[in-house]
Amino acid sequence: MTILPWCELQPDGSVVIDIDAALYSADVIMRTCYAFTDRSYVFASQDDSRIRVTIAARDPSDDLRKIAGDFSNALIDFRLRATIAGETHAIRELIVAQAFCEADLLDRRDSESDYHTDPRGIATSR
Amino acid sequence: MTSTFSPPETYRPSGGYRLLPFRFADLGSERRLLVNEVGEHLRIRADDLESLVAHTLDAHSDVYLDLKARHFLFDSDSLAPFELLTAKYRTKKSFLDGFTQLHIFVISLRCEHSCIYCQVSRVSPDRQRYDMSAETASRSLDLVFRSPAQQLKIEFQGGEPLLNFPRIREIIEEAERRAAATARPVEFVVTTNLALITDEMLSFFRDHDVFLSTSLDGPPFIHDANRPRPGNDSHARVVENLERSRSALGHDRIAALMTTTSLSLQHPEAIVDEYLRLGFSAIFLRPISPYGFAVRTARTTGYSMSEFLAFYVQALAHILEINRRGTFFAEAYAQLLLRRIFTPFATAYVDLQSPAGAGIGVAVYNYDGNVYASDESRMLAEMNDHRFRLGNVHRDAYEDIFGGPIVRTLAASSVIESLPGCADCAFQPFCGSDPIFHYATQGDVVGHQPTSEFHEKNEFLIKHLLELEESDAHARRIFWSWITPESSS
Repeated sequence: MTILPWCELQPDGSVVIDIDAALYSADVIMRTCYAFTDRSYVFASQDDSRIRVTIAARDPSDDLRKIAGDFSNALIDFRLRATIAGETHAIRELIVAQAFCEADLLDRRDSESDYHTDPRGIATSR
Repeated sequence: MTSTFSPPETYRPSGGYRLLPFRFADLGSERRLLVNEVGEHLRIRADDLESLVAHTLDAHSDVYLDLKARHFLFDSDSLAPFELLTAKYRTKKSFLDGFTQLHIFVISLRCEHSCIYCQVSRVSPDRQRYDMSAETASRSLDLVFRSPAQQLKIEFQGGEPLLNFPRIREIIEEAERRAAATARPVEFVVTTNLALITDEMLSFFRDHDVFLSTSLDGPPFIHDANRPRPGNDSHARVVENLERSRSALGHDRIAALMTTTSLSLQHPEAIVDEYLRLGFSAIFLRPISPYGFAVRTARTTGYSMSEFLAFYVQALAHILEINRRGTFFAEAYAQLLLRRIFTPFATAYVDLQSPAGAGIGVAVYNYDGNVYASDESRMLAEMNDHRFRLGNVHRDAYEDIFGGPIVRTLAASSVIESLPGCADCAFQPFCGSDPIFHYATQGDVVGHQPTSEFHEKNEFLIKHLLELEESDAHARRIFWSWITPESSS
């Protein structure tokens, strides 16, 4: 039985959500699963291009439709978080390293070099 | 050292904007709370967040300028965002400077009270067995003064430490000699129920600038029910000796702590009013600790965290009303969280920091010479769980106690920036971790964040304070009065 257009209720009472692994990484899906371990039992398995998440109620009175809906919305939030973390992780590491270290951790090879020395191998990387 | 980072200019965008690190929380009603790495925060619409991340935000919009000013994005004319964020980050983490500052001496396990929630004390006349010896005290001081901290605090706890007052006197006098020799200031705090305090003790405390911390659970019908002693006169003794102590030491030299029992839950206003009546300018509403006798008597004193939080909300509303009527009166935990949310400063509170304070911010020298990572660690030890015993003052070297595997494990397990669940949490810069609480309640130092009472409490309170600050102009004004430098801490 379909309880949301993308969520199938199984005969054993659990809910199955099949997730496109190209859209949501395994890391994003597992972080979302972890956040839902307080209100449900969660199991994830992978099959080619899809990751299947099975959610079972902790208590028979729990509203699985709501849990599955919240889970789906949370996936979008966790994907957004992953995008932000991906774009900013180098800056974050720089800030933390500079804050904690009296020593100079900056690699000035790029800014203090020219194209002849090409320290990062940019000219030869193509 | 090998250089590993490219310089800031590498990251500067030539057109458009780039994101700075931040996390976000869903506030409902299509609103999101954004919090950056150093705790600067902003509420924006959910669709603005999506535009921000998609790099389609209009550079002339108000939300863009707000996000830029609060360091959520930077563009080609941003002024030194990395340097500012680095300086703020260093300030927020400055509690790490100097390593262990707070040193707790369990001077005697004996006590004439038998409080229903007490973790450790013994009603026993056996001084030999339960009092700290002169040799243990001296060796403990050796370790205290090995700490690189520029400022030291020695706190005397028990049992009832005043039952071993001669040892307190010796330790304070010796610590002052050593502090003078190393040109480091040292503060002293005695945690006492005040019932046994004498003029001789008060005179000594006045001469040595000692701060007192006592226990007050509310009006007599709550306090005396929680804290039985022979004669059932604990409350009367606190009130009488509070006045004597204030006269001798000064009004602000005595603080009080309350512990919430299931009886307290029904009376938040009465408890607050009792603190006000007795001339305190703050109250610290504390849930019961999940250790020692508190666990054994859980059926009589136990309650859920959600019951405590309902109690807290009611008490805080009453406190705000008292302030609205013109009397300054703060709640200490809210004050701590508000400082973390609204000021750039670090807060020295070992139970709410990352990494946790156990061992690196606080150490406990037990009456028997064992050294523990925190007060809660020695409470577990009284339940025969010695997992967080760092060593013994008679047998182990400073390096082995403070640089050993237990301190390292506790620090590594309590960096919330990398803990499951916490790593994604928007409230991270305001919060901390407590590996020993998680070990005691969930059997694991990292803990399971979604079901952790520590997480439940802090997330709820941070959200509640943010909501009050946003929606209630009176509350906002009162909160700021609690965290400006003139306010008491």
